[in-house]
Parts: sequence; structure tokens; C-alpha cells
Amino acid sequence: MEAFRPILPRRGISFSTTSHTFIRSLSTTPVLQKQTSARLKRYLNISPHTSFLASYNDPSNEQIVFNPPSSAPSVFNTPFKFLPKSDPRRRAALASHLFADPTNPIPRPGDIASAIASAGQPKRQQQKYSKQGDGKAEANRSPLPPTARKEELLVPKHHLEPQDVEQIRRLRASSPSKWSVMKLAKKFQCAETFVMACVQAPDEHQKKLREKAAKAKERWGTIRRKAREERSKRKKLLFSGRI
Amino acid sequence: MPGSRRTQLRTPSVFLKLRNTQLALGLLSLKLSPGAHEEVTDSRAAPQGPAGGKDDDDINITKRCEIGNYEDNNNTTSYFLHKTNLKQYSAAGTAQALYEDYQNESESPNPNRNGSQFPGLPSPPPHRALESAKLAALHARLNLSERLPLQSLARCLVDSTADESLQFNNTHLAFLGRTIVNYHVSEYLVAKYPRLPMEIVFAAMKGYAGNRALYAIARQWGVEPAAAPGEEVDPGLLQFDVKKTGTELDAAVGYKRKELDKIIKFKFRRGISSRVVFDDEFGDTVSMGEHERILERQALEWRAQQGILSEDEMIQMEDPVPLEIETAEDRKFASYANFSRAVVGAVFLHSGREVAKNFVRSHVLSRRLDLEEMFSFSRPTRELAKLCQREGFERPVARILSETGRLSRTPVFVVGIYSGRDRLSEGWGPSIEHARLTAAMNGLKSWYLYSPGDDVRMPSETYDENAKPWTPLYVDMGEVIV
Repeated sequence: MEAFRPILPRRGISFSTTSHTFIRSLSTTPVLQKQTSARLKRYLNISPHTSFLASYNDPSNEQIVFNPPSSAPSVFNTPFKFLPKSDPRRRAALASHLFADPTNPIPRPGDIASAIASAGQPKRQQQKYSKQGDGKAEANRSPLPPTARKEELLVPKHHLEPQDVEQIRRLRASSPSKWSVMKLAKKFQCAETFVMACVQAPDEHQKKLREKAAKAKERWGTIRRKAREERSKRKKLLFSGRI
Repeated sequence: MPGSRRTQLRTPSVFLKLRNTQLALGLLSLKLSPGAHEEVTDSRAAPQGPAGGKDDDDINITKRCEIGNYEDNNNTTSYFLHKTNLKQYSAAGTAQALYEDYQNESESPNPNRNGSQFPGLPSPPPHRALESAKLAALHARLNLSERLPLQSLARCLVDSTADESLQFNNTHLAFLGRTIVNYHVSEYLVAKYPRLPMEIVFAAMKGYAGNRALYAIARQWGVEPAAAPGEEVDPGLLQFDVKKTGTELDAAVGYKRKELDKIIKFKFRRGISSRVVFDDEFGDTVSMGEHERILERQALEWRAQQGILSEDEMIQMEDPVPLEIETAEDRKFASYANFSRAVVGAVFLHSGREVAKNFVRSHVLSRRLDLEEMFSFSRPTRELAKLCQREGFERPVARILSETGRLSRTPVFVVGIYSGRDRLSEGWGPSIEHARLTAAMNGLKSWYLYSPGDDVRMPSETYDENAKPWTPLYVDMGEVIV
């Protein structure tokens, strides 16, 4: 999909640099960029790309213009990494990349780059390579897009020992309200799911939490309740591919 | 079922089930000779083996079917009967035999086969097939070979609810057709999409060759139902009775589960592995017919009178499982579907294996089924992470590729999932979380929907005489377990 570019106010409009005004200028309220609508229309009326203006009679312009509309990629196009070793498309992709013109790189960022970099290396070395990163190679590569969430780059450290797990269990059992899952995760610098995998709260504590949650739910008004219900419905629809 | 042999086709997990003895039984009763009526009395009776047939050809057919070994991938001709064995089903012979069969039947002391209070035959006599314009039109519309006589096509149109006699209804033709259709559909799915999860395979099987799909096919062929079955109806109309329960050879594919009652009553979970082993080609339980349920109930009552009930049976007596009765609509779908299957069976018998295969390809497999829409996930991000871990790829990371209107009421985010520097998939949505989940689901779909190509070779192509040696297909290790 092509990148969406927001139209920012350009010439002929008063524009304050404070962040507050900037945010307002990005809102859905239509912004008049010119004094009159006729001028704005003329301003936005851009002439088409020269490739479209080429006359059909001119023999020097005999070429195919391929300019498809942007669309979501099909799931039936298997990504390179998912092709099995036996698939001929894998070899073809590697070959076409290797013999490609280096001055004119493929626009997609590093689709088969790591496969070429790691081709022929044993698995252990590959992992080492991917963790440390080759300074020179990394510098030459285009940077990857930003991550969607902060947690995305958290890699499990596997630093906890059996005695740590024992301590987690002991602490949680000693006082489940004091040593909550969040606190334990912070203390031992691990994921909350890891704490929950290690130890379960005693039944009374779980019951207390459930009652607390039920009480909170009782206080919900119609609007919040409806919003919550619809959110869970949306999630179900999303997982079955209906939205 | 005790005493019956069952073999499974073991090309890469093609799971077509076929009970050979039943097929043999079907072919025996399809032997359209005057004496056929005495030989086979009931399709559900225990197979008599070659003892029922008097001449050597019968024995040959039975033996071939029983020997037919599916385990051997390279063996090309073991399953399907050789052409020479089908000589006796030549067109002219069939017409004559059908007619003789009818004569024989009508001379019997009880001409009223259906047991109804109205006189007359339950289905039109075979010789009237030659007079029906509808039937001739259907034959021409389907572009069927001249080797397939109108009488056989007329027989395909008689459902087991219209005429109970196995010599005149389409039960055996439909069973033969069912095995052929399901074989080609399952082969196509497994060879073309080797990574499909089993649940999707079952759903896709139903989508291609289930009752509803075959009903739609038969409707598109222009087949119309008769108002009510009877001797006087046009043989070109589909004859069935929605008030009756059919006697298809359902039980011949898969096993009857012992705990079927509890599955129905308590909604027992059925795992995929057990569905592959016990259930039919669509992953549905092989249910007992209404008749059998009534018999079981009677047996239970008798045992209660004798005072020899076990604890389980006592509970069963107190709270009986309701009889599973088909609805009228189900019966309609089943009857149409059985007609479609019976046509495939008839094409196979009269024109041979290759023609039947092409028939299935052009009528059943040519329909578009959107496999992408069949998936549903519960934890897509976790499943993708597990997949990457299993295959030795780097951990998947969600990255924002592009976005618009973050602070507006209708934002759009496009999120890509990366493993190392390779982009696995992308998805879009009105929030980052939505886009991330969509991207993960798209990634999983692109893994599961991998295809070696449109021109992938099917195992059935090795049946050709000049076929190249078989090269193994890509076999996947299986779906990701979360």
C-alpha cells in the first residue's frame, strides 16, 4: 500500500507554530487553503504525469505504463521466507536479487536481504549474527520502519534461575495483594505472563479480585457497558475475518 | 463395524475412506442382469463376498476391490477397475438388462415394491426413459457420452426415498460417485494447498462436495423435482420424498462412534485426529439411521424387561436421546446431491475413469471456493510467534508502514510484520492494534495457503498409461499448535 501523506497547509494561510494549533489543523474540519474555492480548485488541479501524456503515435514512446492502483497484498502470494526449500520460486528470487543492478535496488525494504546474508551459514551463527548485527552491513542498509508498540522489541532475556522462580512463588503465596503480578514482573525484570506462568494466586485472592471486578462492572453506565460489549463483538468479528 | 475391511488412501494424508467390500457390493447389485434381484437384498446386510455372484466375473470384481491397496503410491491401477471388467456394462446391454430387470420385477407376486396402499410402481419403469424429452435434454445439456444410456440417467434421478428397491434407485451409483468425487476433491486440496489445517480441509471438502454444493450443481444443471414420486411421473424429474429418511450408504464411509449418543446429548468434544479416523470425509459423525435407533431402543427395552441392564443403559432408559430425524430441507439437499453423485458414478461405469475425473474437474472443482475466508483465529500474534519459533525464523515484530489521520475520527494504519529484515505480511485497520492483528492473521494465512503452483501434479494423474514416474509432493509438518 502506498504511504498516505496528510495534506499540510501550505501557502496563503496564517499558520501558528504552536503544537496546539498544529493539531487542530490536522483535524477533520476542512481547511480552506486558498482565499476562494475556485483558486483552491485551480491550485489542486495538477497536470498528469508525463508518461500518461505520451502520444501513441510517437514511436519513441512505445512502452507499457504499469501504474496499478494501490491495494492490499493477497495472502496467496507467499512471502519469500515462507517458501519451502524445495520451491523453485525461492531459487528464482535469490538469483534475481543477486544478479540485480546494485545501483537500482528493489524498492521493498530488505525482503530477501537477510536470506542472502545468512545463506550458507549454520543456524547458530545466523542467530548470533542477527542478535549482534554486522556494523558495516547495518549501516549500508535502509532503516526499518518504526515499531508499532514499545514491547515489540523486547526480547526474552532468559535470565531467571530456578531459585528466582521459587522466590516468585514464595512471595506471591506469602502476600498476593502486596506482591501483585505487576510488582513481581518489575522486581524480576520479566514479562507479566511469565509471572503468571510461574504461579497462580490462591483461590481466595482470585475470588476477591473477581468480586472487585464485578463490583466495578456494576457501576458501569449504559454507555460504557454498550461500548465494552461492542468492543468484544468487534474483536470476534476481526478474528473471523469479517471486519 | 466388525468383520468389514477398511483401507485408507495414504498419499500425503489424503484421507478418502472407502470400504471396499461395500463398493464390491455396490457393483454387484449394479450388475444389471435379470438375476440381480436375488443376489442382493439389502445394502446394509453383511457383505456376502463372492458367494453371491454366480459367474467368474463377479468374483473377479470383488477380489479386485478387496485387493485394491491404497497404501502403495506407485501402483497405478490397483484401485480402479480395469476397463475389461466393465465390459458387461456396455450401453446396449444395460438397456436390455434394465428392461429385463423390470419385467422380472413386475412378474413377482408382490408388484407393489413400495408397500404403499396405492397400486402401481414407486418409480417409472426404465423403458419410459427413452420417451422422456426432459431426460434427453438433460443428457444433451450435460454433454454426456452416448455410451451412457438414458436408462442409467433415469435411474440416477430415483432417490432411495422414492423407490426402496436397490435395483431401481440410485443408492449404489451415488455411493460410487461419492467416493470418486471425494477422492478427486481431497486430492486436489491436499496437493494444491499442502499446509491447510485439517479443519479447513474438512470445511473445504464440504464446500466443494458437500450436500449443499452438489445441490447447487444439480440445480444449475436444470434438474427439477417431481411433485411426488410414482409410476406416472416423467423419468426426467428428480424423484424423492421429503417425508421419508433416506437409506444412503453413509455408514460405509467412516465408523459409527460408540459414544455417538453422548456426543449428541452432551456435546462431547471431537478432536481433529479422531475426526480423521472415525468420521466421514467432511469430519461429520457417521450417524445411525432412524431405523437402527428404533431397533436399539427396542433391544434396550427388552433388556430392561429381563432385568439385565448395565448402569449406563439404565441412565439411557431414563433419558433417551432424541431420534435424529432429517428435516425436509436436509432431505431435499441430500436427494439432489445424491443425484449429482450418481451421475458421476454412472459416468465412471459407462465411460471410464478419465472421463469421470474430467467430469468432476469441470463440474465440481471448477467452482470457486474462497479458502481465505474460511480461517478464524483465537490468538493470531501468538500463533505467528510460535510458527516463527518452530521454523527457526527471527521473532516477528510489528512495524508501522504508513498511517493517516492519527488524530482524526477515521485514522488508517498500515502495519507490517517483520521477521528480521523480511516482511512477512501486512494489514490495515483503524487502530494500530487492529492493524497489527490483521497483519498477523494475514501472515498466518499466507503460511497456510502456500501452494506449489496451479499445475501441481495430482496422484491420480499417474493412472495414465504413459504417465511419468511419480515425484513426491511437498508434505508439510502440520499446523501450528498454540
